[in-house]
Amino acid sequence: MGKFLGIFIAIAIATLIATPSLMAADTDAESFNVTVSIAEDAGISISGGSIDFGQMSVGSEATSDSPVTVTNDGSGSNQTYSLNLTNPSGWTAVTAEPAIDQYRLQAAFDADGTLTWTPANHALTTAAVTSTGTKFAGSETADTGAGVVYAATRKLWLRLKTPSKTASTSEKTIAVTITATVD
Amino acid sequence: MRSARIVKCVCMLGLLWYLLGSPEVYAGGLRTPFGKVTLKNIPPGDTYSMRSDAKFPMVIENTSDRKVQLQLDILAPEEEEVQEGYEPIPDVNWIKLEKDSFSLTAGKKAETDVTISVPDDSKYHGRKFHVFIWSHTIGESIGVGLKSKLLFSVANVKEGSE
Repeated sequence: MGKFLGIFIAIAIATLIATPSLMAADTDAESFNVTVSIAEDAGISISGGSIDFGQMSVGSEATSDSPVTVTNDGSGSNQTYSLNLTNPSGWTAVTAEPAIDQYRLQAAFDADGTLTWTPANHALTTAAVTSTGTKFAGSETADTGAGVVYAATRKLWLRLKTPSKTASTSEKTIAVTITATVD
Repeated sequence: MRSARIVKCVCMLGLLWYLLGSPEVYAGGLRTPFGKVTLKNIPPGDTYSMRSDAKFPMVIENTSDRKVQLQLDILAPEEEEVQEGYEPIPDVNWIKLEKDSFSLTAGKKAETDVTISVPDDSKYHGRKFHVFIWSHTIGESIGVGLKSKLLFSVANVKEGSE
């Protein structure tokens, strides 16, 4: 009897380890048995902090001197990055040529920041846009913000075009958010 | 007319801006075990709690080297984001967070319950839905976020079984 009990416990433990369902809970014992499956962690880390474009004149365009390094900091799954911005007071982001009190901020994942910038693929908006093989892609097609493997890093470069005209000469802070989603 | 002259004057003088904040260097990051969670057989007409029923509340760790403000939002996925085999959640109000904003010092974790309440309507029975919980920092010039995938199927309730 003791031997059978030992075998039964061993089988039960082996089943618990093998199954992807980590937990189960009865919310209504008569009708439902909810199964919960947990995938791996999601995680993102960045280094480099904020980017300073310094002083720029109206209607000018510049690429950041240094990138933000983005790392898949989950626990094994591939992740895809999406990007969005928050407008500073008095300015509005556009994807076309900036007019009065408008600006355009572009972003690209690229090893060294030498790429052909295309607003249709690179311009940021207040709505989050997901990276693909073309969206936010740089010159290296293998190093986009889509399907980034665990622990891999990407370099994110930013390119800013200032308004054609503006009376707002105060310092502006444009917040950019990089969001990771498990594939 | 006067304001137009001011704008013109500003342009001619080539007044300059400082953009995207000061050149601070820091490490930012978030991590969660709630990256992709799948639930099968959610009972319609009831409330399912990730903390009390699944024993798996949502936890987000601030892996930055400084204090951050964390905001959580419920989002329906866009068409191109929907997990294969699932539909976007018809109403984000089915999902409730116990708490949706936190002030987190470096290395600390935020925890909140997530509840799912599917209306007791036969049109939802047996269907599979996808919703995101977007955890993101606010007030940072370069912020970080995680979009946790919550995937669930609604129990197939036979008519007259209740």
